[in-house]
Amino acid sequence: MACPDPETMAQYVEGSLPEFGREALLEHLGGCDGCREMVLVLTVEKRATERRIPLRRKRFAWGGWVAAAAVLATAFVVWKALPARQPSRVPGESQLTKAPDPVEPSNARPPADAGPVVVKPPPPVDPGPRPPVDPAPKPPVDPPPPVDPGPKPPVDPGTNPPLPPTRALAALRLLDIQGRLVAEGKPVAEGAAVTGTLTAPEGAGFHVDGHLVAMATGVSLTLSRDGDVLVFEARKGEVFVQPRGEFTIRAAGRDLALTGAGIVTEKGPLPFKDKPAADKARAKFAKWLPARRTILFEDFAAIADGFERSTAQGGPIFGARVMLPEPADWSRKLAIRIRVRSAARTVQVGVLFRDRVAPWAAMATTAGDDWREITVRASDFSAGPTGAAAPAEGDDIAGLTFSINTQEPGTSGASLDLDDLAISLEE
Amino acid sequence: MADRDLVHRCLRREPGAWEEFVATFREALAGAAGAALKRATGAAREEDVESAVQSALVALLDKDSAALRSWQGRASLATYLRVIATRVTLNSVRTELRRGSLRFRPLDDAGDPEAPPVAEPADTSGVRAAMDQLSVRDRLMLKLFHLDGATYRQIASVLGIPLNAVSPAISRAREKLRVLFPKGR
Repeated sequence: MACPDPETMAQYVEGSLPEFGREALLEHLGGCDGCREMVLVLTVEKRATERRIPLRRKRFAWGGWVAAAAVLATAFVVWKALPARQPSRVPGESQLTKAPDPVEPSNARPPADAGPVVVKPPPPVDPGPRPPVDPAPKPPVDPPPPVDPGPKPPVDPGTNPPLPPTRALAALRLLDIQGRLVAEGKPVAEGAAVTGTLTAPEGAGFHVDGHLVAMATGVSLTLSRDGDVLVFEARKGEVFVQPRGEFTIRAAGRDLALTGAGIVTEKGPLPFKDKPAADKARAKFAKWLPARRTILFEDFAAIADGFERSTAQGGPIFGARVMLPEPADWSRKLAIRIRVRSAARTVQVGVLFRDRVAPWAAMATTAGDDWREITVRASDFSAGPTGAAAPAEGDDIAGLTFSINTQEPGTSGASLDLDDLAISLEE
Repeated sequence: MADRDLVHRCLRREPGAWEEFVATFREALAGAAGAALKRATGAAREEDVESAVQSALVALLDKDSAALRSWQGRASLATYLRVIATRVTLNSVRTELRRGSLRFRPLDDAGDPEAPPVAEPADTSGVRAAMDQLSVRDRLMLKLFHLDGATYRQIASVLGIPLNAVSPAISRAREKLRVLFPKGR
């Protein structure tokens, strides 16, 4: 076999290459150093990770959905093979949305009743540091005005109402809380947004923006955000901060770029002089450091392959496929959390495995036009391809799918908005 | 659909389409180029990544945008572009290596000139012959682990097997090789 073409390689990386092609490619990899190196690069390329969502711990009612899920899972087999994908890229907006196709027949929602339907966002205007805007090599010949631009692609009408703000993300949400935190006299729940001053009656730790923060007993702390800078106002005592990567904090009006652990006091941020000092402080705060770490996606849009549509046995399927930026293993502790808004009553959550053709699926109910945070746990995944064994501990997850059946009773359109995806292991 | 539309607009050379394409996918290209540089040279300096991204973009437009036209939508455009960027970057590094002027390599990573040369094995033909008798997956696994220095996680990812199955599988493949090549170590 000659070296595979780039798209075959891309299919392989995405886990969507049919089995026969996959075996042929593996055979080729055994004899081609160049392709093997390329595959290794592509499998380790990492993007992602940290964001916050509110967590809820409620279960879903299943009823007859197992059968429906099986049908939809079958539909995915066809659906996966379809090409159309659409990255949604809005810098700073961790949201993925899709409007129904304007040419979609009767079940597409009319514009006046478009509800959550949104127009694809404009090309990104990244305010952040971007390489000099020489947009790289121009097309070979300076583009003359096209003589015949041909049929225009369908353009989403600009009349759709804008999405209501979903910037709960902009708030500071605390995850993986260890111990007890109180804000304004009320206990802070896992995943809650912070308002007011935090206190830890018996000491506590948590993750915020992926950074680890621990407070000793009696410490009071106010957190806020100023752009990318996390602002600490320590009223009293010491707050231990273990940044994730380089991290700029502000305390007592002073900015400090932390690359390692540091302490924040009411006088300002203080980095440790050396590693032993940091280790000593870490040991001091160890009992409050959260053991669990929820992995979330920093930029959902960047990892989403976009929305796809197909028609299969169970009706028109419409949804998004999200390939994981790094390998993740199936676990009975797995929990997938996402905020969903859809014209459909239910959304199917599918897990794609690298060595399986079809996904393993679970169903969750939506709240219609309102956003709802759903949590799907490993035990909820009960529908898979006919005859396929259930996922086993350690099976390699390639991606996730979120889809709706637009002919489902009670569905008023083909809209599906997704936001705040998180994958974690729950004890 | 939007990706396909964007590609078509680029191919038709509609004003602004290429700029939109670059803005949309620069990050994906840079990520892949950076990862390739890091694997091949141990470092991914910003200017080298940018240079690799430019090369990938040029490759897309080369020969009447043949590479761009070749995307059929079987895989996502982002992944397709990452493959292109990876291939272009690795080829570029290999070319530099052949020329003997690897400008990507950090100066402080040039190796120890006093180090003794690594001895070539006297005869590898027997090993190669034994390897050829192994199954596709066993051969690939041993090459990934012993030649490429891939981690268990990478091997699991490439072969599509659970992480905890990698170590036993490598042991079994080694044992098969030992049987096929009894004089081997």
